[in-house]
Amino acid sequence: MSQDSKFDLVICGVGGQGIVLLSNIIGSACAKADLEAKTGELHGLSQRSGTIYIHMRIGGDNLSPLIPYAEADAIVSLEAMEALRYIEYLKDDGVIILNKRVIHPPIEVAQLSKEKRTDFITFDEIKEKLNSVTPNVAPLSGLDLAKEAGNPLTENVVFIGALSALKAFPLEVEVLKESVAESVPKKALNVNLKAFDLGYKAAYDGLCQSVECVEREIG
Amino acid sequence: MEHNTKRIAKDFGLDVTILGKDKGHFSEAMEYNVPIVVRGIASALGMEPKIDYDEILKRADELKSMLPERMPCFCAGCPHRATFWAIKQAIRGRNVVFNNDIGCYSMAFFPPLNMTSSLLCMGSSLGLSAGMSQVLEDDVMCVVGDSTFFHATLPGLVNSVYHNLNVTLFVLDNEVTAMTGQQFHPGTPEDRGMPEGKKRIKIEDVCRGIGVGHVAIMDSYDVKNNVDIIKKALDFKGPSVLISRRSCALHGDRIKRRTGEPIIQNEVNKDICKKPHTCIRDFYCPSFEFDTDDRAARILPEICDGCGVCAKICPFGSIHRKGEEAPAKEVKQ
Repeated sequence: MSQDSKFDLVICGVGGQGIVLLSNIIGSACAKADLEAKTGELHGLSQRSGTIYIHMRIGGDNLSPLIPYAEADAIVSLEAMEALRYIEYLKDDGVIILNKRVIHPPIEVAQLSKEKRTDFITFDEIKEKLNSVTPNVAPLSGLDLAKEAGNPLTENVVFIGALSALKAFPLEVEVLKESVAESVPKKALNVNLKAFDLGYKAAYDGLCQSVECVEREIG
Repeated sequence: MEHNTKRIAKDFGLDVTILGKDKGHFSEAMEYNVPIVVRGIASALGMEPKIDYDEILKRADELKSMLPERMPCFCAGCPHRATFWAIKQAIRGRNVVFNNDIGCYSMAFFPPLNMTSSLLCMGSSLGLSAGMSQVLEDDVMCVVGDSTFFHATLPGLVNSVYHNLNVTLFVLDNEVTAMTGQQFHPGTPEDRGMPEGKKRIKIEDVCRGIGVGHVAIMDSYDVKNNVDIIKKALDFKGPSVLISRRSCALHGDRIKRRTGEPIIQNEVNKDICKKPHTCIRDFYCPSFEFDTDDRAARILPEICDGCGVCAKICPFGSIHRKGEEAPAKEVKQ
């Protein structure tokens, strides 16, 4: 691992999905790897159901935790709409690791109900917009993979595994897994590690054609 | 920082110009981001920013024009949602002023509730209400949380009792300081694992002790009965306090996980649902969606907290706890 490797990451999603824990896990992995990480949560009201985004700058000689527009290497979005909401941060041809899950805000549901409409925003519509910015979009079914791993609450860890597929992401898989292990309850360790591996595989399959990925066996 | 920097410069007799908010290079408001700071520095130096942030934002805004806003809202199972539903019913046909305060319930300010006449700072709601009640004909009411009650509402309450003002104070007592992470406060029940040697102070005891003439306690989830309790408090001449009590949903979940009590989600019986969408339009719980093919309401099991308040407000009794055959209440004919 190169010590001068630099990676600017936007993590976003909906309040309640475990996004802050996700960034804590990556942050403590950085500490283990002796990489400097600066992070900032821009929305203080981290209530459930609101939009959440976190800036995370790993390595480099940044003075500020905030990523300028069009400079993020990747967006990890635990909900599909939220990736689009922060698209101005992504650099051209940056990577988007995108949850296929679409969580409709109560305001959208109520509005459609009032207008007797049923045209909810779909994942495909969102992905089409994202693809106009970058071809490197890796959709994965975070919730399904978490359930497959054995617990829907591991959805956030799926996305840490997904990040580990990127060659440009400066943290190695062992350090990330170690950090996951320290952050989750002991009895939930195995399901979390499984979620991690499933996330890795999904991101690898989705991105390896267009982006340099890390090859490894999972088991 | 700017003013202190100027003070230091003055103390050292430095002949320098200090630029910042005073000279308009930076805004006094807003959460700063990189473009705001870059523009501020560029304007102080008489330069143009190298990157056209407006252009980037314009392209992004076009792409995301399809997105609905995602305001923060009360959690699934939040007792505040239930309390506000009852308040909305109770104030129908009345002219009310509703002064808001600082806590999760501040979100009553956001759509869809849009229920805020003022929102200033912690503890301000009762003070403002006290003043307003002396000049307005409207029903003046205000809301604080349990923690804010102890922190910043007591002087206002003393003032309201002393002057015998027509104000109604809602204390939304969810047993912990929920917004900042469920910390204990003096009103938290003892059995929540409080450290040894602490003594619980009950909010109702404090209110009665100060001399509030009308104090009522309601279960936040008992929404239908709460409507009349609220009306009665609004009709009372003199200060009244309504304590709406129910554990914060997240705190309740934590207790349930600890004790092994299951969280049983609700579901919609499609055969009974007549699709009035009362649950969706009047309740705004994030666990509700509706099916695109038949428009029947649907509850997302991964979000539902099983509070069952939606079942109480459904006019057709089509919502019931999972695993229970019968609807949660008798179907209205």
